[in-house]
Amino acid sequence: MRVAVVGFGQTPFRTKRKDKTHPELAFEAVNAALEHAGLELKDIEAVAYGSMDPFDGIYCPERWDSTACGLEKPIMKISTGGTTGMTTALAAYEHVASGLFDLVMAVCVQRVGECVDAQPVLNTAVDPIYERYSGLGAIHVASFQATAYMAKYNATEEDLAWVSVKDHKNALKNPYAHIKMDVSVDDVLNSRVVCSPLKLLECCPRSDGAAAVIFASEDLARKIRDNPAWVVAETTISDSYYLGDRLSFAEWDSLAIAGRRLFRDAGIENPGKDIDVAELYSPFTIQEILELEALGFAEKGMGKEFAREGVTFMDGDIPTNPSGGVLCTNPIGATGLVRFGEAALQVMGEAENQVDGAEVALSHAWGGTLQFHTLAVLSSKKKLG
Amino acid sequence: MRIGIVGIGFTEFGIHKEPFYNLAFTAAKRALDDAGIERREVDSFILGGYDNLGVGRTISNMYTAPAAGAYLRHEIRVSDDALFALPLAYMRLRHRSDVTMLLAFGHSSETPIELVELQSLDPFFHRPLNLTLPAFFAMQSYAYRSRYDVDDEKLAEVVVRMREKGSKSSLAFLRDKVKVEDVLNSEIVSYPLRKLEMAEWCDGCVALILAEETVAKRIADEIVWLDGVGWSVENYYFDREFHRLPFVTKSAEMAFKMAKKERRDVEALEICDLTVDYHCMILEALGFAEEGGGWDYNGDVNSSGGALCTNAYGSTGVFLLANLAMRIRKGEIDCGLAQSMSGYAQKSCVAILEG
Repeated sequence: MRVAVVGFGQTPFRTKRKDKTHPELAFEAVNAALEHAGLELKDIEAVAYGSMDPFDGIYCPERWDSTACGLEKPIMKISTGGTTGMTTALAAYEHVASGLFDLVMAVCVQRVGECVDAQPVLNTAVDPIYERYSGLGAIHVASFQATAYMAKYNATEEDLAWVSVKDHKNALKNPYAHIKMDVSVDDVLNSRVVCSPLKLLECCPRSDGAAAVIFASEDLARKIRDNPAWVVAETTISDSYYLGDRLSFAEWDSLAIAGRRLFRDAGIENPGKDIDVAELYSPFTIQEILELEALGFAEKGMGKEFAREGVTFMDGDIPTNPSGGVLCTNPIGATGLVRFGEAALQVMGEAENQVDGAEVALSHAWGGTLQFHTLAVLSSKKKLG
Repeated sequence: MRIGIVGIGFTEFGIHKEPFYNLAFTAAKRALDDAGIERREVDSFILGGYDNLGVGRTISNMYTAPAAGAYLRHEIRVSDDALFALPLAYMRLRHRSDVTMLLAFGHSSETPIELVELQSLDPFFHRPLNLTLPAFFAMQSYAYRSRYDVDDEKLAEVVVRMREKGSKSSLAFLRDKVKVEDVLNSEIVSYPLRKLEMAEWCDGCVALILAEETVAKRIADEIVWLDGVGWSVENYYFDREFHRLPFVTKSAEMAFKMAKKERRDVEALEICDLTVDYHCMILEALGFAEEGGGWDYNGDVNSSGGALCTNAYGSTGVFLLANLAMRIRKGEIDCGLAQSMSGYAQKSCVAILEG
């Protein structure tokens, strides 16, 4: 059963959305997605809901938010860390791909602004005996990656800074983005060190907001819109738990394995040529570089050149994160769904920062302590190749 | 296309001192052994269980995914009672999986569950009321007993029957028999609910190996088919009719429709009776008893002892389902229905199994 995205809606993302309650945020995204698809809530048959509860000060928020997602519909709660948004999309996709439903919505809501700081919350995810007291959080594992990569491939702080310059430039064109500022390489390099070698402008914000994506079966998709975004392939991968078990921080081999599987399913032989635009989950500059290499866009050790040489800028060969990416907007449990929705908009030709003629888009999220990846290829064509 | 259960693995249910991922590993290993397959033959892993507040760790699948054997495999966690993960496993198998493991984990001894559940209430209207889960359950019990004038002694007899069944199950957490007087004399937790009329939290994991029909037939001779699943949600706000559970009815309707079965086809039930009143209300909502008459139901229900004997927050629903599947596999019954629910009696999931 072929499945397509027929609607995407998101809220503006801010440090705190004090103007809306949890279900009101969900409602804002749901309404935007319904309006985009030209549908009404009663048309939706089932809902997959995603959130990372610990940030929001409310446990199992899908219970409260079900009031906004459509009462009495089958609702399924997904939570897988940073990949939550993408796995929620895939769960909704499975509803339709299985043939059980024709029209299903994925909804993700997150209010990271409710917690004092995201990193102590993330620290509660790691082992309480061996790792928790080290203060380990997402930013620390990213700094391990940056240190290892810079040492192995002679990357410079300036190489990483160019990723930040590019993402911030893109975010200026995205009305929903959280951080909007024009930054130079010097600005990035002169911003304060948060976790060496990563500096403030190389680290994501923590955002409040919500997103919703509507999936339709093949027959319905064409009736709903002329330009649906077809889900060509998808995959997830789960690595071992302990961070110390990673073979190397200078490469992301689990993502490379997942990418290989994804491209085989999608019929993609050369990602750099066959994919027009990528929305990658890169909350820290180093991660975009590692992701580009793991996914085969760049040779090992060469990803550091891409932003500096303009390859990943809007007018480059591989426009990456035209939305401004996670570096400028990170409602953690909803972030993956934003990547997925932005990738869908690109192949629909409706993105705010549109890549000209984009037909194939890649969407990605990672989660845990570099443990999980979720990937999807979306296209304006039902099938590639 | 049919989807079948070809392997089942339980841990012991009780209060465990070892980490929940060790239990998860035990259940997963036992399920693989039961199916006679290796980890590498499982292509998808669907996990079911709560997150940080429920098991003491944020992103709990960081631990349970490796324990299940999901190393470098497809894996997604449904954050709810694990029976709600069954539809995702079912859909994954219908779509593109050959063999999927469903791992259910619960480790409520890590956290004060009543306090945890209180955090699920909205911070404006409900949470300030300090309406704990037992207090809410008691409101429904009060409404049910008042509406139908149900005698406390009749309800106590239901508890006695369930504990009798639990005493015969080697898998049950509570295996001591009780008398009607014991139930009626047990302390009031929240009026009118008494301690022995409520489920008691414990820890434990269950894993199922599910396979697409043609693959299932290569793996096992005795396959338990998953004929139908249904799930539904009730209004979050409490402007509900407290004496009935319409969302349970709705989830059952969906499952029956998918299974193309009638209630008369179902020979045995496993239901999530978190209180004795829910035992009655669920039977009524499922259509197996008249409204107000659930206490008098004399059919085959909760041979496992039900949630009143075993309630590992997060894995209870799959515990009930797996018990039912074991009976079908042994040939005791041909067709059965398992039900679970979560939250402040807000969500229900129903599965129909057949031999």
